[in-house]
Amino acid sequence: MASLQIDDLCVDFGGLRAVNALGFTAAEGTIKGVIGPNGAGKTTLFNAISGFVRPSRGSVRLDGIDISTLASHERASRGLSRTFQNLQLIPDMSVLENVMLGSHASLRAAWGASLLGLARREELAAEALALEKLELLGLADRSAVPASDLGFADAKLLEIARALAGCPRVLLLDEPLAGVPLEEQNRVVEIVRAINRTGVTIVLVEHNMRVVMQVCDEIVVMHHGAWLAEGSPADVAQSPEVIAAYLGTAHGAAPGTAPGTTQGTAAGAAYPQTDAAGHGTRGNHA
Amino acid sequence: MSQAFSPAKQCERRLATVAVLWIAFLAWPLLAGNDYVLSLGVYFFINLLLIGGLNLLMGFGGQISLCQAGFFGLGAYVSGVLSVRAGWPPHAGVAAALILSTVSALAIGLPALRLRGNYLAMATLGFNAILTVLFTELVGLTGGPNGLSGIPPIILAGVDFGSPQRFYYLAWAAGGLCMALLAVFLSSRAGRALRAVAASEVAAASMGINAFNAKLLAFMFSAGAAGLAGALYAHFNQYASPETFNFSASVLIVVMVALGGWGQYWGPIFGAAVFTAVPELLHKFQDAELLVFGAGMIVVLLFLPQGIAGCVAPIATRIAAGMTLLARTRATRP
Repeated sequence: MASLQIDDLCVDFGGLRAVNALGFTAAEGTIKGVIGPNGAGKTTLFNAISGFVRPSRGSVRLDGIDISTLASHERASRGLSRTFQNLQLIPDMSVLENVMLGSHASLRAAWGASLLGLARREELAAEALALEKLELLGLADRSAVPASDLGFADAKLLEIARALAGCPRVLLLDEPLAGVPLEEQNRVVEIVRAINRTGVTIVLVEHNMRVVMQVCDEIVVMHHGAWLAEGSPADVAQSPEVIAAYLGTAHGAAPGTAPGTTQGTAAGAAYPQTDAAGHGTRGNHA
Repeated sequence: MSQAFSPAKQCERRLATVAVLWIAFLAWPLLAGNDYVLSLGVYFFINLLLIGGLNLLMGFGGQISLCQAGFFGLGAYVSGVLSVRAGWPPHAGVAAALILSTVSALAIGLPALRLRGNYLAMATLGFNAILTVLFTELVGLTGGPNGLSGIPPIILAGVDFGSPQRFYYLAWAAGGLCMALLAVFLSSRAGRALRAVAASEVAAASMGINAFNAKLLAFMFSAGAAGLAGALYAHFNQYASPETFNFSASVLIVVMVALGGWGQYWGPIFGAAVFTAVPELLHKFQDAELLVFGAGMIVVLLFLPQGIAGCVAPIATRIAAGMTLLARTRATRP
């Protein structure tokens, strides 16, 4: 259980400021959505939080402790896990081993002990944990195949399983639904909720507005790398700035599609309504 | 095969297969008609250490070292010089060779592996050149171009390993130990980390893996195995000369890793067999083995990306499965 706090974060690529003085907090045990049109800097934000790009200013705090000078593997060891929009699986490793990789940081065996086979009990425990996570994501029957044999949707689920095997305190999910067939999306949403119920703080980047509105406790909106709006899904959806950023012009409604694409612009107009419904169900949930 | 995959089981299977193979290898001294053929068995295990060590770094770790023959030579000369010039007991020299080659890998790896990409290849290329110069020019210690002769045989616990018959078992044990360590390592936390680093440093880092540590450890292991191989070579051959350990020898070991099977656990067995046998078979034709190795490399790169092990292993698995099935049907028969 931990909170994630971003303060005054700036990321520059040469002359381009991809993230601009951004600040927000993902409170302990909540799901925080990060939305914004394509190119708003969401993935760059994730890269800065997880340590893959170096911010030019600002700080990232995990439970109040500044982690912005740590290397990415050190951040992961402290309980900050992530998935990738463009998958980062180990293709020639089995599905099971990919998940076991996720628990690397929580295993204790030293390099020497690994070499001499002194960590068998720990290895078997890691194997059991990995299988448990695969079962949670419905991939247990595919544990033996190489990760490269999985379809895109399953590969996305495998990334989540791997991130979970590290028993993260904060989990960054980068577009977990992109490329997942419609009929499987609800399963992913349920999984995200189930993970959150175990106390994991989740930061979610997702273009599927219906899902973002349903799942998130709070949403922060990014536009051109900067903070645009923040609040409950209902507040954000009704914010005139947000609608202006997403829209341009309003056309007919097509709920659930991705904003930022051509059809997405239209979806923007529709999502205040979708949200009202979504928020209602959320209310029942709570 | 719907059987669930398990790294721990895979490790056990590999260890069991190594045990069976190594028991079979015990028969070589009985089958070999003379000392010359027997000594080929010794060289097989020495080559196995060289190729197996490098396969961990290259095949599983994705880093290229062009100094495997250099570490081989370092091991040979450290142990050889210590026993010839300083009068150390040979087994102490072997230990010193193992330690010194591992430590020098640490010294090269510390700067070279901090950077992403193949800086290690360049650094090791340079180190092999430096070592070759030292082996040749430090005439007072190494004997220079004439080589270092009179290296005493290993005597361990009162047993003189001077004869090929006895030495064979020493090399046999070292080779088996290396394969067993690799089997255990590859299915461990650290082995997975190394394989992940080779595939994607980004993914590895996001799992909390320190890529630098993983690569450094693999490099030190590969150099240590080569150093041990060198020391064994020196005390078996009782002679060492610089050209055995030059850059082109390093390149040949790289070729053998690829030929046997890049990143294949059983690859080094095949690589070592080819590396030992082919030069002997082509003895009459000067340097013809280079032609064969070069052609073999091209064939492997074009048609067998997983090397000899990659095409033999599936067949072996099928045969094993068939034999189990046969045994079962026989057992169920009245």
